[in-house]
Amino acid sequence: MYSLDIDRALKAKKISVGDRVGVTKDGFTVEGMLLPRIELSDTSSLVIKQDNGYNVGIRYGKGVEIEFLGKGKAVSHRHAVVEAQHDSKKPLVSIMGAGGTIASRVEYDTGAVFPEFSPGDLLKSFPQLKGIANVKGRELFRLFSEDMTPEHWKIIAKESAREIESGADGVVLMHGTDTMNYTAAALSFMLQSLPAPVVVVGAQRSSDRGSSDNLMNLVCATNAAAHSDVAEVSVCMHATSNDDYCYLHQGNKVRKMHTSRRDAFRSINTLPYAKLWFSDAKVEYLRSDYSKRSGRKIRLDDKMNPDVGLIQIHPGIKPELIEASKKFFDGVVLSGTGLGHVPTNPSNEKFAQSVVPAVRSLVDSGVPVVMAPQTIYGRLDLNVYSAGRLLKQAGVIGDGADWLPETALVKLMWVLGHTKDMDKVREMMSTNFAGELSKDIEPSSFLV
Amino acid sequence: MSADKEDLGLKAGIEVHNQLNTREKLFCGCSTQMRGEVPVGTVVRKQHPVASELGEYDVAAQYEVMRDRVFVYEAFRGETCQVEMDEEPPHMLNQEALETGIAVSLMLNCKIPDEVHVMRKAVIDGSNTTSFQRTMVVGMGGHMEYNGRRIPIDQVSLEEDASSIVGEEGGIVRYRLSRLGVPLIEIATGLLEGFSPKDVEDIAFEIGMVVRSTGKAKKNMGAIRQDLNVSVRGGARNELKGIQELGMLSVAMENEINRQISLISLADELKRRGLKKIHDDPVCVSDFLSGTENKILRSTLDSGGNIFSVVLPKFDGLLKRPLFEGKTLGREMADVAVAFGLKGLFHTDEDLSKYGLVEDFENLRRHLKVGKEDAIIVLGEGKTKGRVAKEIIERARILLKGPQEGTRSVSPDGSSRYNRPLPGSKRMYPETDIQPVPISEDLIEKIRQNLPELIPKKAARFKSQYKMSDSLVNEIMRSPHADIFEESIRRSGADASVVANTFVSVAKDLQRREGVDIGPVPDDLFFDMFGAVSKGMLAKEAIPEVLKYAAKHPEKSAAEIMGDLKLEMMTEKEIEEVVSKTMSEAESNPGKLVGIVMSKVRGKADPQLVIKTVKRLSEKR
Repeated sequence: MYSLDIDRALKAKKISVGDRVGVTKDGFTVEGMLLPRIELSDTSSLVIKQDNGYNVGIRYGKGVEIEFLGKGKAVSHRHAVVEAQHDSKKPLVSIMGAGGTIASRVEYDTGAVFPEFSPGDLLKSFPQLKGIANVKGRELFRLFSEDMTPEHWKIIAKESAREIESGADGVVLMHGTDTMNYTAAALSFMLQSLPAPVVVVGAQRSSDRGSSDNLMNLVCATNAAAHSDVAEVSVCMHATSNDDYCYLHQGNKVRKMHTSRRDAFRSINTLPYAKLWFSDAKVEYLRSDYSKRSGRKIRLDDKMNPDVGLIQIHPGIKPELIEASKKFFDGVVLSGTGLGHVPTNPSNEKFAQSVVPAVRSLVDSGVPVVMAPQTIYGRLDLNVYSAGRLLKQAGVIGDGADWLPETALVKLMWVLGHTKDMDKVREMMSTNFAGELSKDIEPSSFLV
Repeated sequence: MSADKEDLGLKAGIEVHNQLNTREKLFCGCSTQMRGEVPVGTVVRKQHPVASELGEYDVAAQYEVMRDRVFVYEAFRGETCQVEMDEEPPHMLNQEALETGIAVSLMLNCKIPDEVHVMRKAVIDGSNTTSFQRTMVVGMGGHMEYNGRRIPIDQVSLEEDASSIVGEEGGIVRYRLSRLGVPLIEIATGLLEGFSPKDVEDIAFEIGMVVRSTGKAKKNMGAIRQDLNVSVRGGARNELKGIQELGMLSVAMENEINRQISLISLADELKRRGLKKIHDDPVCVSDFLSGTENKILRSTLDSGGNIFSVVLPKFDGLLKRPLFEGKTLGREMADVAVAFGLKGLFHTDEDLSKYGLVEDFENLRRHLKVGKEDAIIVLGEGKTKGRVAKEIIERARILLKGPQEGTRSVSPDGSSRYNRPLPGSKRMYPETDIQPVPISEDLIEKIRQNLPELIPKKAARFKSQYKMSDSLVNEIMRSPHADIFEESIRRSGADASVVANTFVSVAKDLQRREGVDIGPVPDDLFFDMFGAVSKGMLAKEAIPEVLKYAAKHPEKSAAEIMGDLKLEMMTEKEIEEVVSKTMSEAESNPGKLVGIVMSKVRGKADPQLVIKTVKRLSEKR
């Protein structure tokens, strides 16, 4: 959107975005295609793409002349012509898109990005897929990771179940990376008795560049969906900064641990299921404690209560915040310090404030409070220090759990979708439904 | 070739690239020193083509992919961060580089855009970890004067330099990341018509001097690179890339002119011979040549590869035709193979007895039913699986049409070799990680008020002020250190001749004799070193030694270097001791004595003082 002044000038000359124009200022003319103005930036400069490909901005004002030089050709997204050929010897993988830029195509003139999900598009951009499986592609929605909600998780779960029921040997879900682990955790609870792999995959580098990690991640994810025997919900992303292999992470025990690196996703408190090699498609298993592929029937259990909050405990936290949270939430996860602690102020220090009474008040009014470790790695233990014991006494759930705060949040939503009864909630939260609770933590899993 | 260039319909265009000596890189805080010592780590990557909006891959991009390569990038502490590793978005645009770019644009009478838009230019040879180069226009529509003629300057752009290549072996290309992201200024002329190769070379020099006048140009070897576009009438635009030594620009241009002329006459010759089309594709002849004793073909077969033959109808004798001095058509074809990582090829227009292939080729000729008027090329391929043979036949088919557009890499001797097709125009798109940068009138005005004096203007003053010869002034102007010549004299009080000698002779000697590039030596070190000379703390004879050391340790101060090298000047008393000792050992002839003493104290004592001391002590005796 351009400024009103520019808009008026363009309308007067019947010039629209995409047309070829000449903009003259101080006797010098810049020729090229008029581009749309990028959102949120200065709207008083015209953006011209010159014939050599470079964009420049010319501030509009007195003495600036815009001249119409020709009608622009409409920019349309043409679908690729690659035919998807069925190979009866290869497994069928259903690739679904929920958002992110892993499979999209840049329109070079404007920088706009189109998604591509037809099998032809996928095979054109990722020709290696052909050698792995018969693929079918479908876009569920086009969302930024951060705009994903529990309602979207339900749709994804339903569609994944339908794909598997209708014969897919594996499902790949392309997803924005920021909240990928929430979605994967949700699917791990909603898709019970999973007979085939459901692999969530994304890209940390945008798909317009030849260096994007999208190709390797998608190829490895498709390989895992088609050929691995890990019938679990998993996340497949670069294992290192190199383009050599991906890790197949357990979907509810994985976390984005870096804002931008390719290898941002790390398994927490467990090892990845497998290494997936890019060049030779080898699957190297690192664990054996997972559900194997089988002919069992998938059970969709997508009842969710989205009214659950996650609160990070920090020095100086106000008990009123926790107290007030019951107004918004049917359940609360506290991301506690250390082994699962909150301020308790045992010595009545004048600056400190205990939040234990607030926690107790929540539990007493029927709002379950679940603890999770803000250290990310490690297991909770509410028996070692008095803070932990006080919380346990107040009714906090989660002693001994090694779940991630995000997994605890999603699980509580799922549990509260099934029951409101505090005892039942407590029982379900302590039940290991999808490998989210491990009995022992493999020592070598730290910082892998 | 010395024909009148105007008759040839000669068209040229130059792009001059100069690295900038900014404190930080263009899009991150890493140093631009490019010391690249011991790598602290490597990262291994692959790149793949990206579909454009037409659903087609860029030709050039696809071409590189055919080569199926793996890229290894070396990282260096302080010179590489996650931005160069393509693991983090770019930081803010470097203001120092931007202002230098604007200054250069103003000096070349360019218009400055009101808003600078950073673009991504697709580059898929692996030299950029992102697979694109960030680049932006900072000046447009300028001009300069050359011999009374107006030279159009189409564009000044600011861009990030690529990684430097270490080597390529077996499809693995190794790059050094220290250079990636160093700011580069690129100045592109408009169309130059009617200029001789020498003129074009001089114009490139004048343009380079504008950048050097800012004092922000890097001085190291390789800091300046020139690309040259050339075509003759009936020929086609070819981009000659990476001409480092300015003096080679005219040579490269002559060669390209000759190449295009040769290709035009080659096409005519093929027509004359009645060739209309090359029908047959390459064939695999591994089985037929399974008994070959040629070492190269043997090892191809033994390692599971195949041998391919390419028949070029009516080409007999043409493969040994020179395209330009030192390059035959056969050699040009072999360059194609080399570009794909093969060692080369064999053909019927060369002495096959050298390779033990006479019999093999005769048999092959019979086997393939190829006439005497035809030429045969044979090559062994492994991973490329016949793609190179196909490319070679395509290149031969194109010969019928005369010169075609392309890019060529230039070797240090000015010859050029086949590179790859020119990238398509669709390869530029916006860098969405960086917001457009508004350029205010105030900033432009501030820069305009502080524009540096051009080096040629300064040079005119050197002549009168320091009473220097024209040739010396000219040499200073051509030295990368021309921008600090005056400042060195002013700040150090050193003799102009000492400074001039250092920047001209010493720099050249160190380069030529010892391979030492004094480019990385910081300006301050020169000021301090000349200061020490003028204060009598350092002998001017020690300058080469100081610079040699400083080039290796650009982080050290002059005082530290003089300390490390034990170059503090000897006191009169210390000299006296050496003289007495020498006298007592043997020599008493004062003339010879000075020589012997000097050889012992060179670089540590003022020669005048040595002569005086010898004289005094001899007289005493």
